[in-house]
Amino acid sequence: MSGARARRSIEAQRTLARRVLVLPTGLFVVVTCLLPLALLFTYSFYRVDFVTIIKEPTLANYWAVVASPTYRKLIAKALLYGGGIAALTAVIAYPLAFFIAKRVRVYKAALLTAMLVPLYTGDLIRIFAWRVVLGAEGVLNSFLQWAGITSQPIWALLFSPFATIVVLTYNYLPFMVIALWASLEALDQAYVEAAMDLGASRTQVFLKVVLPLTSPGLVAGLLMVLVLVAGDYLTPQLVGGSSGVTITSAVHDMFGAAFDWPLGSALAWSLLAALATVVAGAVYAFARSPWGRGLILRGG
Amino acid sequence: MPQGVAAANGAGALLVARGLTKHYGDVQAVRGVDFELPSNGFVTILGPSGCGKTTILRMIGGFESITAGDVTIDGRSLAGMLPNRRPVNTVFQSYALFPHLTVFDNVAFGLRLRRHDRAEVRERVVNALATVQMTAMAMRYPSQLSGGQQQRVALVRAFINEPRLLLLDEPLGALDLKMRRHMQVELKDLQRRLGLTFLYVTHDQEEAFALSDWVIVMNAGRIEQQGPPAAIYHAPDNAFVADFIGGANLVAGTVVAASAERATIDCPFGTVAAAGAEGVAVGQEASLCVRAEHVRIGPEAAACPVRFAARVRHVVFQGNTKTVEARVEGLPIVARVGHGAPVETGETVTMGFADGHLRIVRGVLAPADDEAR
Amino acid sequence: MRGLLERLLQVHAGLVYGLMYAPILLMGLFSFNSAKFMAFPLGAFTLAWYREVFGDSRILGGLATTFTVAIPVTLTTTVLGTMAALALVRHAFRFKLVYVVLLVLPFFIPKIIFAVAQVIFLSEAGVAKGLVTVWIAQSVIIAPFATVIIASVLFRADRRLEEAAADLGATAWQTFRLVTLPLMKNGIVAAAFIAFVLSSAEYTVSFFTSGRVQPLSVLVASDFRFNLSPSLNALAMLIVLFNVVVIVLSEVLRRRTARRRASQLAAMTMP
Repeated sequence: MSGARARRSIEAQRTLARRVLVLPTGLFVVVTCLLPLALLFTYSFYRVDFVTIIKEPTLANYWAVVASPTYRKLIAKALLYGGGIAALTAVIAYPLAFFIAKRVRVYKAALLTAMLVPLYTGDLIRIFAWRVVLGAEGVLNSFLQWAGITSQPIWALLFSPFATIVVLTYNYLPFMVIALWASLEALDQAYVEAAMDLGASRTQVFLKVVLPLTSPGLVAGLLMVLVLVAGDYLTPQLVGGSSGVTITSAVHDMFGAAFDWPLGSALAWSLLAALATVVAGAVYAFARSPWGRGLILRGG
Repeated sequence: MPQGVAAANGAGALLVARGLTKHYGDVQAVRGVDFELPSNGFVTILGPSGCGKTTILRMIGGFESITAGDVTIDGRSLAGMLPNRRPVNTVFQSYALFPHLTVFDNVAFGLRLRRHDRAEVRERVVNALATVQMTAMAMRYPSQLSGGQQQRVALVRAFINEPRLLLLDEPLGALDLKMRRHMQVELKDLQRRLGLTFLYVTHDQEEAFALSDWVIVMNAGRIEQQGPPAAIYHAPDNAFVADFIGGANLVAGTVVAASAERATIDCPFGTVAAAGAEGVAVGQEASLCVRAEHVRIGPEAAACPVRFAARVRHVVFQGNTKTVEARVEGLPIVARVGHGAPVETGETVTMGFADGHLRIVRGVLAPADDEAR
Repeated sequence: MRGLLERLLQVHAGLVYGLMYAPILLMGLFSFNSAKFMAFPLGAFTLAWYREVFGDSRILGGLATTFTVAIPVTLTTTVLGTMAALALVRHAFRFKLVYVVLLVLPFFIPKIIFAVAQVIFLSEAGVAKGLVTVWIAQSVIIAPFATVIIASVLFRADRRLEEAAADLGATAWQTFRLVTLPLMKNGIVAAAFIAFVLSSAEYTVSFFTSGRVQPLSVLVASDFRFNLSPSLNALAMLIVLFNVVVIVLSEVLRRRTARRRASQLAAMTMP
């Protein structure tokens, strides 16, 4: 085959391969995820009349969401919990991720897998296990009483904000550990040695070199946990008790007993919009910050 | 200049290493090494990969622990001292420029840790950058610089802290030939201007000779020879150094006589007397060493004390010279002659070792070192 | 000072892992405990709760349904993940960022929102809920995991091996089949096992997209929520054990093939 024809043929093969790979997978997500979400969006402009859905466009639902202090508070609550848990998991995960990345040699893969195993047990089992531990007749309370530390069960252990925070942190800690571990693992030891060579103490090395260079991983982890926590419906509802009302449980109610699909759709999309704004804003702010600028220029 | 610094008793030397040893489990990377560094000079540790040169550098820098022996700077032992306290700065092989900081902030890093005031830091950084013509790049990020530029920033970042000793770990390895030559000149110049001691590590013999006042040749964790470049080139002590530095013909044999500066060796070419390296003793294994450029062919060989017939196997044209590879009863001999010399492949010619250029060195070439033959 | 810091790091790590596994281990403890309440002091050791689980036909039926869904989900997500990983790591194209966002989007969409969107979609399309709808919905949210796992393995594989194969005359398909695929095998197997585990544990989406026949997680959901019987402990422990076994199996498999390949290589290069 002549040179030009061979080149074109290789090009054509590559393009064909690319299309075969990208189109079905992309289309799959579009049809099974984007399309339903788009439908959800259109439904948010409908109204409900007892048991039928009136498909006439209206902004009444969004107006209801925006005007209602309850719903506004719920969205704010989702974001607040998201940010708070993200920060909490970051504090807990950082030393652990550092330990696995920089202090462990042989058992690294095992430790990471062990961190992920609780994830694979499923939402319900995790929540159930914590109810066993935190309940008034549960393990922790009965142990405290049996050991003589308390005489009455501590009711606030379960069905309280405390329980919600504990279980949410438990659920999403592995994600933060993985995100931080990845960027710590990728940190070239030469940078640490160079900083020490130039006279930095261990604290200074951490603050001036390790932290900035792993900040993309930290930001990614924070945003990931924020989004996942804000969208978590089961945990607050099952262990939060009366404090466990969330925007997502409101959505659930609208699609269940309360039967108001359009309002539920509006609530859902309001949350999605809020999350998208926060994520986009954070990424933008980071990219413009001094740390972000230097690292993103590097292209990696 | 360090005349016999290694022999001197340590007075006046900046750094003294005695019995420096490093083991990694069963592997002995550095085996009891002794050397000294002057307080203003360019010293290179030269050797093949895995000889331990980088390990020694890292032990001085504080990034590897010392298994045995000691290193002192200005009389103070470095053992157990953290890298950030040592009066030493390192230029890393990968430069290790902090990607999240500008060139300016990279260079100012060490100064700022010692809390100099802002105006002073600024002035010093600007001046330092000027010495390597990098002032215009002060606000760029390392990822925006070329290899040579990064190299210069790494240099400045290190020496701006006025260390007693600057360690350089094969800093020119990633550069292309032209850039490397240019940087070699700059480095040599910089060292003279700064008056610091540079301890340089490389496997490139030409580079070591171009830069250094003093060369320490290492192999498999031990120092084979150290001295000024010219001395090492013209007077190698042993077979490894003779081969590693500039390449030479090495004919194995046994020493039959030895005196202060001369020796006699019994080898396949007969009993030959020549200049003897230090430490050559009777009964020892030794090698008769002749550099390729001192091997004569044809009529010129007639005047040589050692003459023999050899069969030419290859003639490689190299511009101004020709490299002639021949065999004498299975023994390979390499000669370098002028481009006009009438030698053809397959011919049997008379070759000879030029008078006055023979040397008897300790030891023979180990099979592992003898790759090309 | 330095030693103290190191100690603290180790203690912290131990504490975190301890707390991660404490609820599960406690559940396990009480699944063998004869008392009806999950409380101290402990009662006698018993296997009664496990026997109760194995004797419950409803649970066993639910388990069968779970597997009926998990196996197709595993196949689908592994195939999709492989294709997406190849596209991401081995091809360059415009709007790659859009493609990446598209692929990971299902992971970030809150599951409840995704679920209700499916409900609307199915209602509009007039499609009845059933195992097929569960299969597809689960595949969408599990595929990102498979993609990330396989892509990270593929990323580390040396591209020059594929170039060498092409240089030696292999067609694109042969290169893929004989070089690329074996290199990705570890990632594919790991992704498959994880997909299986995630599918069998999935609840929210399955709840909204299943019809009359329900997988185990949905069946026992109300039990888990309201009924705190110790037999649920046993069931939960069995599920956890199953997950752990699956993950350990995939690790062992991965290590065994790596070791086998290493010894093959050694045997070939021996003089």
